[in-house]
This record gives sequence, C-alpha cells and structure tokens, in this order.
Amino acid sequence: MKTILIILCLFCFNNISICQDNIKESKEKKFQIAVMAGGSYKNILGKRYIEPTPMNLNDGFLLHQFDGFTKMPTYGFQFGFLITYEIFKHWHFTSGLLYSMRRDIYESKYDTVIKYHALLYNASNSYYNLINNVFKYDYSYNNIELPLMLQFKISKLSFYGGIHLSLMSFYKAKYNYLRYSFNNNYVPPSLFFLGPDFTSQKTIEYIKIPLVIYPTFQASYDLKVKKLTLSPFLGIDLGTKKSLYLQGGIIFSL
Amino acid sequence: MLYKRKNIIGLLIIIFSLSILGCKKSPLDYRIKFIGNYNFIVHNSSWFMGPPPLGGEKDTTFTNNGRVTLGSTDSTVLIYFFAGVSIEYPVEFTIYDDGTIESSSNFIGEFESVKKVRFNGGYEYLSGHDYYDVIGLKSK
Repeated sequence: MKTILIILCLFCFNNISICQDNIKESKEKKFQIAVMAGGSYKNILGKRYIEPTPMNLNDGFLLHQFDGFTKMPTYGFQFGFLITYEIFKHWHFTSGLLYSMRRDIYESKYDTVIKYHALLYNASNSYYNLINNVFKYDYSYNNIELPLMLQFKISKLSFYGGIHLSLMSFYKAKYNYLRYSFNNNYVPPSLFFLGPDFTSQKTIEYIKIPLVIYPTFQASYDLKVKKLTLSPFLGIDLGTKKSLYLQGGIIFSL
Repeated sequence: MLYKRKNIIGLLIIIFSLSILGCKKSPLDYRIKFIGNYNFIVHNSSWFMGPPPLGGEKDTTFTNNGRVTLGSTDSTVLIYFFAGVSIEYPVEFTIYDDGTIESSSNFIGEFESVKKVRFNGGYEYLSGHDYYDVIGLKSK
C-alpha cells in the first residue's frame, strides 16, 4: 500500500513538473557541485529491547543472537561531495561520494545472557575460561558510500529520495565478555567453579565490500548567504536490522 | 518529443523507486572474513591401550598447511588442520559472530582475529584418548 502511495506521489510530482516545463524553460545550470557534512542519530525511535523468540533446534544462531539485548542509540557522521544533474525542471539526479561512519551497539545485563558457551583451555595458567556471555556488541562501519538520489525541487525547498550504496567498509567489531574460570584439576562435568571473575574484550577488524543499501529520504531548504548557497537538511536512513537513522547537516553549493 | 522524453524519465523514476522499496538487504556472511589458507601448529598427545605402534603414548608437535572453508550449514566452518596427509579430515565447527567456535566432537576455541585461530579438544575412546591443541595463522 505504501509503495502504491509513493508511486502515485511521484506521478503527481512528475505531471506537475511536466506542465510547468511547458510554460517555462529552465535557465539554471545543468550540473551543480556541492559539499555536504552532517551527523546522524540512530535508534531514537521505536522499541529498543529485542524480545526473545522461541528457539527451534534448526535455527541458526544469528536468528537469536540479539534476543534479550537492547539496541543502544548511537551517533554517526558523514561528509563528502555531491554532484547534481538537472534532468528537467524541478527534477534532479544527485550522486557523489561520501564517507559515512555508522555504529550498532547491542547491550545486555550480565546475569540475563546465557546464549552460548565454549570452554577455552588456557595452557599457561591451567584454567578453563568460559568464553560466554557476550554482554555488549559494538560494531563500527566506516563506509565509502555512493548516494543515488532523485531530487525534487520547488523554489527553495528540495526533497530527496534514493539510496546510499555502501561500496566499501572498514568494519570493526568489539565484543565484551564476562569470563568465568574453572580449575583444570577437576574433570568435567564436576569443574570447580571459580568465577565470574573478570570481563574482557575482543576486537575484530576487517575491510569488506558489503554493497549494503540504505534507503534515504531527505528534505533541505536553500539559504543565500552572500554568494554562497547553504542548504540545511534533515532526513532519515533505513539501516540494517530495522534501524532508523535521523540525519541532519548542511549542503554547501559550490 | 519533449513530452515523450519526460514520460520515459517519469517511468524511470518509478522503476527506480520500486527497486529501492523492493531491495531486500541481505546481511553479509559473517564467516567470510575467517575463510582462507592457514598454517597450523598442532600439538597432539594420545594414549592407546596396547603395544606400539598402534598402542602406547604419543606426544608430538607438527606443522601443517591447511585451510578454513564454509561448512555445510550457514553457521559452520570446516577446518582442515590435517590437510596435506593422505586423507583430508576436516572438523566442522559452529562459528559465532564473535569468532567463538565449537564442534560436536569436543573441539572448542576461537578466532582471536581474522588471521589467527586457536582451538583444542579431542576424542575419548574406551581404549584411550587423542587430544589436539591447535594454533592456525592465516597464510598470505
């Protein structure tokens, strides 16, 4: 239903622009280059707690990885340049290249997280460490993104709709654990329980080419400051795992 | 002519918006970063009932060129730390997002980074046991 409504809106916008085009030809530049910078705030809206779901034997662990966790609000930012091409009056196509920093944090309390476990034998001190109880997942994505957006412009007001395509990502995942220790002199299952005794952290870094698509909707307003055109914008990005980014920033037209 | 051109563009806009709305974001396979060729350092200790060479005690360390490949399900990997001998004998591990691994055949461990894996475990038999402590470093 939403899809149909959006298509109808696009048809209406399209027809309005066609009518206006017949009256008056555009005198604006076909190409325009702009620099943009802004910030984002994620998970400000919607339910943050992820309800545990019933588990089946055949379920992969990914299905329940974040059961009982809370999606934490995170900040991000982006900057880069945009090239706008006027397709016809009121309608522009915008692309460019952006650096975008995005973050996902899932957090839970220690005592409620028993998701999986593995005993690691530590030869140096003859203890088993129970690698278990990841109580915080912290993912950072430093993305190179290609915006592909359509811009509808009426007077000083612009509406953008399209996607940000992540071409490459420097990915960093931090896992926070609560570790338990067991004395190795006792044979399973009668392990001598010593902990929970400490927390630890593991970081995994990786460059990946994910081709993740972030649908984007933005609105901006042109302000003339002497010869400069500044366009403050507000928008939303739809991320992975049903997350919503609120965006804001400024576009400087060169 | 102009009207026709604009209709085509309008159609493109609709196709474009449909493609955006129809995009299903598939999460990247988290196992991919761990896949590759590895040099394994294997510490093997075993004891079997009976006279040598089949029986007796063994305690040895050897290195081997092996590999890590995707497993039979979407949350497993196969670790060939015996690769290079006449029979390839992989161990299938369930792998979690943080690189922790465990197998049904009593092997447990973790990928400490995307270039290093460590695990241990082994087999218990009525007539003995066969234990392994393995470190694998990804080869360039």
